[in-house]
Amino acid sequence: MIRFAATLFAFLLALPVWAADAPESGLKKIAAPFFAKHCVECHGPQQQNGDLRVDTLKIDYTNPGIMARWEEIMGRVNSGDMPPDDQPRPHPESIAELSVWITAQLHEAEIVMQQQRSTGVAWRKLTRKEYANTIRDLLGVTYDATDPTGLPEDPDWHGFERIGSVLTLSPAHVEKYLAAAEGALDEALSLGPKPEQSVIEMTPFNTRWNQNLKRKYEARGIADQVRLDIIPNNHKSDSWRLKIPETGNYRVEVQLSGLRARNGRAPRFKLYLPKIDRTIFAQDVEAPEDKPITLKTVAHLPAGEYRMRVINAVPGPSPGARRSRHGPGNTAFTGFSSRKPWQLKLTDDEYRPIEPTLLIDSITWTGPVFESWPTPAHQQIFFRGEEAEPNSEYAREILSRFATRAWRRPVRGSEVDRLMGLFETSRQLGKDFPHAIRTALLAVLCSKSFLYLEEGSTGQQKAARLSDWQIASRLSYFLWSTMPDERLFDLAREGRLSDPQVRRDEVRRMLADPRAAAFAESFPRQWLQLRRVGMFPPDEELYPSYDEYLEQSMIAETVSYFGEVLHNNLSVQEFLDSDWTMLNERLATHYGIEGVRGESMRRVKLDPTHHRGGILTQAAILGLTSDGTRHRPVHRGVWMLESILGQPPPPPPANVPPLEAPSNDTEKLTVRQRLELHRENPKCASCHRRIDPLGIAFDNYDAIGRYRTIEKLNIGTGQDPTLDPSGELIDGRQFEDADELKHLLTEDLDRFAAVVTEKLATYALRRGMSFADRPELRRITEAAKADQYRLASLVEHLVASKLFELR
Amino acid sequence: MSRRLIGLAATLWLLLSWGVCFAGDVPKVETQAFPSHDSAKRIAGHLVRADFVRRQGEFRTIGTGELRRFQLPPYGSGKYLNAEADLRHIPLGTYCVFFLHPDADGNFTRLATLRDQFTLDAEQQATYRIDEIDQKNGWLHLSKRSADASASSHHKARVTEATQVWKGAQQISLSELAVGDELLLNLMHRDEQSLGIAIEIYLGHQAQTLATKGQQERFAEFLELRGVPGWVEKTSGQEVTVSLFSGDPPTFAERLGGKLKATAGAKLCVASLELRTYQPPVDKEYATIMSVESVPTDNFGSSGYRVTFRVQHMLEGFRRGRIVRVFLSGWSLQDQPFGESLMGYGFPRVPHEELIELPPKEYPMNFPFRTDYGNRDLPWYQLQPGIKPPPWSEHKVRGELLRIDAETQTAQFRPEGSEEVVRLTLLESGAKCFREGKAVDLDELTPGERYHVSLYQDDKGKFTIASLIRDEFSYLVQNQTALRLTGIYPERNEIHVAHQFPKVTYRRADPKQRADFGRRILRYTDETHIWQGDSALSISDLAEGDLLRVNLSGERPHSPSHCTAIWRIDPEAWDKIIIR
Repeated sequence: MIRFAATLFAFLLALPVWAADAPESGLKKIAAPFFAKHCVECHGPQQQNGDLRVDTLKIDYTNPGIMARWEEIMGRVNSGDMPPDDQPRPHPESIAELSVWITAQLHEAEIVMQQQRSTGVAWRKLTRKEYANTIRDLLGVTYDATDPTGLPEDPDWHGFERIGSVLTLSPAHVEKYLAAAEGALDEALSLGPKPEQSVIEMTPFNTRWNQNLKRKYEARGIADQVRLDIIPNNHKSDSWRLKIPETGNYRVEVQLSGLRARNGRAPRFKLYLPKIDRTIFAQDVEAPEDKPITLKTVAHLPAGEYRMRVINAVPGPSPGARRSRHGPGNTAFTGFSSRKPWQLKLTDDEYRPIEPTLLIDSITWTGPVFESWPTPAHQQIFFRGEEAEPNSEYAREILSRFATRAWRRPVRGSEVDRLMGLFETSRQLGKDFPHAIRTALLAVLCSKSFLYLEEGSTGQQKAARLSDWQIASRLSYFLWSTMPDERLFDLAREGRLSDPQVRRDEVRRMLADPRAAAFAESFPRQWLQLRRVGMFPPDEELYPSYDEYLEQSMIAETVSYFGEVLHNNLSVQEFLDSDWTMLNERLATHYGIEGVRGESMRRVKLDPTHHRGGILTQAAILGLTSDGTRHRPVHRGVWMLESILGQPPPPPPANVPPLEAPSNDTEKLTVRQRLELHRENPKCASCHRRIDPLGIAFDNYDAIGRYRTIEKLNIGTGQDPTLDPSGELIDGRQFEDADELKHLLTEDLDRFAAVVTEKLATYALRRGMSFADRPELRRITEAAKADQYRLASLVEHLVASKLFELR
Repeated sequence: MSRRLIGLAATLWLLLSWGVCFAGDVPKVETQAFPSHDSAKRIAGHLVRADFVRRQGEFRTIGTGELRRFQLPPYGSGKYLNAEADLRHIPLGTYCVFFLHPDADGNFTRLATLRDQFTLDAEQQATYRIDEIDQKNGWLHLSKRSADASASSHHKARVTEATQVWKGAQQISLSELAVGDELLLNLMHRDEQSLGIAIEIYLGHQAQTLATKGQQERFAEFLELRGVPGWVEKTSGQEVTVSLFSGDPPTFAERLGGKLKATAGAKLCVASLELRTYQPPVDKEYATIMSVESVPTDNFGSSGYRVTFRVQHMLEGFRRGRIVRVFLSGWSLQDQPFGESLMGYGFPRVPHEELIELPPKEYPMNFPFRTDYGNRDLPWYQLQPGIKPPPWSEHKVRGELLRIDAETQTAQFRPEGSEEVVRLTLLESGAKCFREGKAVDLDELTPGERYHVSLYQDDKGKFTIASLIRDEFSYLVQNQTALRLTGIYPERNEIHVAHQFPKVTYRRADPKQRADFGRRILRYTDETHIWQGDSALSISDLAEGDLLRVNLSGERPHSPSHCTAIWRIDPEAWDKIIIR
């Protein structure tokens, strides 16, 4: 048995397991013996029930029909449909072995088919984030891609949101791109008089109260003492109208005080525009009542009418509207003693805060603001200045220059001719020179060369090498999520990016640039599937301390942890275990770690009593693998297999009964105990033996990542049960808890580094890694080993590799 | 220690104990000791005005006939027929002893309790025996006996047609009184020579007990609608400890003690110093009684119960020194009578300038100057040239206009309760004068009448600059108030009136006459003009139920204020006014 498990584990944990051998090897070793024993009688030379003959069935990654057959076989065997009930049952381990192998073949086929769809040129669409960044760097204009009126959310493939074959273009996209380009050009080009700057000052009297009351307080001489008291958990109760007259950048300034509850939390100021789902501010505020501070930011806002929500985003009593509201009333807030007696009590009998409270004096919106007029983008595009002769030669030069930058490659004469055609037509229709140029620029921004990354060229082999211009874009979008800068363009122009050493130098330069924050943020989010954090919001009654800020802090821990490893060029081993993490006050409080004050994430030393270290015990990871009510060991196990071990498990068979719901009449059981009952079902046992131990190891962490030793249950009889996080891996190695599992994983660091390499390559090349990529991936990993798998070095090795030059 | 020193110490203690905290603070009782029974000054008199909502009124003293104002502190309450009573339960003109403490100015206006003759005697277990009946002159000659018959004194009281006599549960006629009857009684028009007029006579123990029980029932009903008041002694976490008020602790214990048990449910509503709540059905805070503590009752106001509640939400009004009302288990929460709530969500606005939720009274910290309602430590608002003074910055006084100088646009004015005559000038801009409901010039006002005057300080700090001068008639009109005639007493030249608003409708209900919000006694003389429109009437033309407005003469020592004119309101026109 142990020998069998060890064999299977070797199969499972091979590098990466599903493609360790050519398909024929697995077919011979795994599938054929299984079929011979259980299937051939009805699906072999004698009979082909259901038109299926398995003894001659081959693997063909390029044939969807054949791969669909394999998928069906896996589903039928997994679910117990096959073999039929009157035949001997296969051993669960052999079912698991077959399922794992077929899953690997299906995954490989998926990648191969993704690559096959493209002809000589691979067109990889920019994500909406990349689109916005590119518009920003090209035109100096903010495009709010994530606004409801922006671009649709990008679909993901195993967490990665930039896989070319997955990012499709719909008619809706086309309309949005056109609108976005028009809006961006309107803002970027100074084609009319400079828009008048508005100052919109929102005070207590033009928000909560009114001008009539203002006059009364002015007559008393204390109008300047009136403030908005914002209680915790105020939801939508403080929401006011805001009219933005012109699209553009607005300076937002908020004067306020923030009073920390005694021995408790600071209030958290959030300024939110629900119409465009935009948070202008979200930060803790601590400033005495008599010493307000001013928060400042610049926000890009489309013209229009909004509801502006002022939120104190901390949990608090939920008193309902009656207790929270101020009503029209004939008094305003001038201090805590002026609050109405029926309102929620914010201070103790000595007027010391007992709830984190915000006191707001004013919110001022000033804009649109411009760096200069004409704008820098206008000056760059109309590079000869206002006095230049508006002739065709100048127009051609403008369009040629702009298209080269926008398309990130040299522009062909015929392409400029087409743009000039648009320019000339516009002129004939009566448009002046700048507006005719604008029409042609619009075409540049709506062309596929702008919206897509172009890789390879017509007639090239599938794995052909990229041009230097294409390498520049690949590198730039990999590390900066935006277009190349002038230096990368220059290197491309000089043909120097083919040189691996130049690329290494560029990686170092680019990682030191602030734009590298895009990589440090985006890659861990996609690799670790952090978009799932908060997808099932924790139940408010079961987890009253959970709030938006905690959720943001949880994600920030994991993202900034990755950033810390990257910027300090630490080993990827730090992802598995460490004696430090990144915390702010909110998360430290959540973890029960003292001495961390303030909102910014900073490196904090851990000791064993904290039960943290590495990413696996970070609240974001533990939260994304839970649902709104409880932790989910199976989800955690599946996530471990996908993200850490690089072995996505087979999908669950159809009609699997759920875990039995707890009952008030039965003894309280941990989720693990209930899962063990579930695993008595042979249909479930085979996969769960692989999955469950990897999740159960983290049972000491609840659905929002808090450490515990007892599982608190509201339903059932008897005491709350003690948790048992011990387990046994499929290879027979045992562990007592999460710490020991992390230790076992660090023993297999080579394997984990290989997974990280593959994830980085998937992100950088915007496609899944196939069998054909394995040798090069292996070489990258081996080269990085000499650098102790330091993360930044690994990135360098990847960029310098041959793989990075290929389509 | 000399008597003088003791007196000084007692005064100081009272000032500290009873001062209401004002400047820049929330309205709350500064300290929370219930005053001992022997700490009050007792003054005998007749109740002549009662403002039910604000828990204040006036009484006229025996002998001197001086008119004195009073204000019930939060724990204060009356006793009538030997049972706890609100002001509205005590008939106008009833002879009472008023138990007073000094206010912040040192004037004895804070009324811990008032007790009618019935109560005073019943508490001493004293009764009266009829020694002789003088039918011809309407006198009863009585001897008063203490419980142990150790003391006896002789008195006489008049009986009139208005005298009510109760025997057992029945009302009997005067002619059924007999020598030897044992009785308790209530009085009007008591003077130094006699007990005055016996308005209620209760013969025998059964009638007396029934009278007490009847008032106990009335008060219980009153309390159940409004909640048991108490002050917050401390708060901790979600817990609020409240000392409940009662003017009759034994009855309180008997009737409510059973509901004041740990784990019992209750609802708490925040209230003002006048015990006014906001809107209990909406404001209520669910609570559970955590513990009940016995506290002494040998003082004014303590029920003997200090109760700790655990509430769902802590509210601003659950704060040490503030007032709450407690609705006990099984009590249904209802909207308060119109005019009593400080806020009625969905109600029409109360059309009375003093009965609305007054910001300077409830939120004094929102005023950087002294007002009539608070901020005693701050200076009064100072007029500035060309700037209209803000609302509630004025000092409102009542008094008599003595003389008007049309040429200089000044008037001589004597504030009530003062002998000083001040020379009023009108505020430079925006000053208004009203007579009989109409805006008039200063010289159109009538000297010798009583006016409501809003004043500002001059540059010497004297209140001589008037922004508003109104006669009583105008004050009533502007506050949509009518005086409903409830009794005419020609032999005493008195009429009794109740203060009422027009009919009120809310929540689509039919317009309905709401409860009276006050009551008072008015005098008239042979010179009093009585009008309906342009027609002159005589007093005999008036009848109970008539709606009136009046103008009054000034109140002076030994010369009580009387109506200079009475107008009967057209009932049809009044009926058309609906408060929505």
